Amino acid sequence: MATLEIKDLVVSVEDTLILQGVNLTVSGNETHAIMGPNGTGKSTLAQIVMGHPKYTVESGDILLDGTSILGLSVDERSRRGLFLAMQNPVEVPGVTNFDFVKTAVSARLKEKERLRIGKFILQFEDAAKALNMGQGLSQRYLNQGFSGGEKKRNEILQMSLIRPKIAFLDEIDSGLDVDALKLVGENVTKMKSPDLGLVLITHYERLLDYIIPDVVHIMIRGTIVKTGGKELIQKIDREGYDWLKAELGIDQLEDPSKSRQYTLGSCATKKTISGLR
Amino acid sequence: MKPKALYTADQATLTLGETNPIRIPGVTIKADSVTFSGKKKLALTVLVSGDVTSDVIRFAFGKKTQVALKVLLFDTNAKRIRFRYSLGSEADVSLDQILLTPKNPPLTVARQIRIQANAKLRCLTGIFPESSCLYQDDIRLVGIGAACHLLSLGIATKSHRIQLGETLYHQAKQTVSELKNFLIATDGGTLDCVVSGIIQKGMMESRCEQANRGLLLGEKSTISVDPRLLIDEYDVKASHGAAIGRMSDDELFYLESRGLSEDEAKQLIVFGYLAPFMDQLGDAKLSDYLTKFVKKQVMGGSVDEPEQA
Repeated sequence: MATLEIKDLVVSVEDTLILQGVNLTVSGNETHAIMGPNGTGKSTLAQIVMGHPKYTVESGDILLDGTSILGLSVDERSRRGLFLAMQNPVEVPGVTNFDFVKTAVSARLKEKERLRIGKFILQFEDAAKALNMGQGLSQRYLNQGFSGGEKKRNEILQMSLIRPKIAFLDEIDSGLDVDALKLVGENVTKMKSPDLGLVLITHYERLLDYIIPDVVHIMIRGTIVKTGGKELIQKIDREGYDWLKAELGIDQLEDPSKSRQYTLGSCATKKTISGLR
Repeated sequence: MKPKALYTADQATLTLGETNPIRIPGVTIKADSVTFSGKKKLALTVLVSGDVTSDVIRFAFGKKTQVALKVLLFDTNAKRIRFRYSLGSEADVSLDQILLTPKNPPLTVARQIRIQANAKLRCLTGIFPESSCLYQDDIRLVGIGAACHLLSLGIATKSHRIQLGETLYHQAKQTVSELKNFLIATDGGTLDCVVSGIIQKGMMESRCEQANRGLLLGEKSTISVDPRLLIDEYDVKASHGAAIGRMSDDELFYLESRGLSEDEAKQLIVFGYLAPFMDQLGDAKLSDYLTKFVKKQVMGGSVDEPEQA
């Protein structure tokens, strides 16, 4: 059973602190949900665990099965068993979905192992069918021309074939209609096992109707401020996050030291406007 | 291994400039010209290699001919090669023209293509020189309903410069031109591309579309694209655009997050970039050879011996 431990993690990007001391332990057979308002560092946490190069770890550690992974590259972390279902999966023209997943699965094989292609084709087709992804998926270019829902389902399809030890699902519910959400929820729930620890990052209760979490965390200003059970989900759904202000003794949920960047269109100048929101 | 070994003289292959004993009904072959006629579908591969002495190499496609033609410029020592393609009315021509030359003095290739009424040209152009190169296209849609669909792939490596100039003249009504360029520059290579679509006054209901994509690999490589539309008629459809960039960090992160190493991820992205060209090539042996050649040029891989024909 795998265990991921995040210890006092402090992370910056371009001299701005994004995570300010995150602690989290996730083991196989556990499902954690991380909730919180926009811009509090939830997606950043998932990307840092996966090793995105744009972030700098200032202090703290991330351990997988007791060994620090901070020095490992993104692909090494993946091959050790980490997975991130992304909020905005990128499109890669010219690379077929099947070739990509086959390459990803092959990358995990031991030195003398070879992928049994016939068996893999059947597994791919079964996984696509289970997610109602239709025929022709294998030969479509990776995420190109996919609807928002198809992209998310494709992330789950990859996860089911790659079989990670610890998986972060970053807003996997966005872009999904009710039926697709139910389908994704059922597929993910089926994957739950002692060999898989799940971290769900979401804004909404509805995903958690289909994938029941064991532990719920609330993240504010780059740190986990509250951990509890399913009762937290209902409270957030009912009251939002404002009740935390009094509990935490703060005036606003967003970090006032951060000024947002607004992109004024691809042809315009990207510029920071302090205080604008 | 020389790329010439991919092809041997058989029924569908000839080498210009040499004695060609083959006889194909509907095809008249001379030292510097090939003429197609008749209604039967024809397929031919023409190898242009060694010293090219002809000033101009001509291909004439008669009325209503249906031809799949490959023109392979392999291993030539020439400094300048000129081609003339002439499509008669209602001809349907698929032309794959591949330039794959070893380290040479700078080479100039100039093509003039004339397309008559309701004739259709689908043209794949691969430009893979191991030296600097000037490649110029002058394409004239001279008959009503003439159409050409061009897809070109150019790769500039090792401080070489490729200059690609494509000019399409719409000189008749209801003419169509679709042009897609895929450009890769690596190792300090430079690729300069000027694409012009010209629709003259009165050439109504014509359509001219250009799309250019450039992929920069390596810090010192450069790509410039100058897409131009010169239109003197209102009743037309036209579009042009160019997108040039390096591999995005997000793209690499996504692929690496699935266990692919950085090199594997880059290779996958490059091969994906080549796919529209290779998929349309329709010649598995040539496609396989070119893919390995590009891998060697772009990624530093090796080119294995292909199976002999």
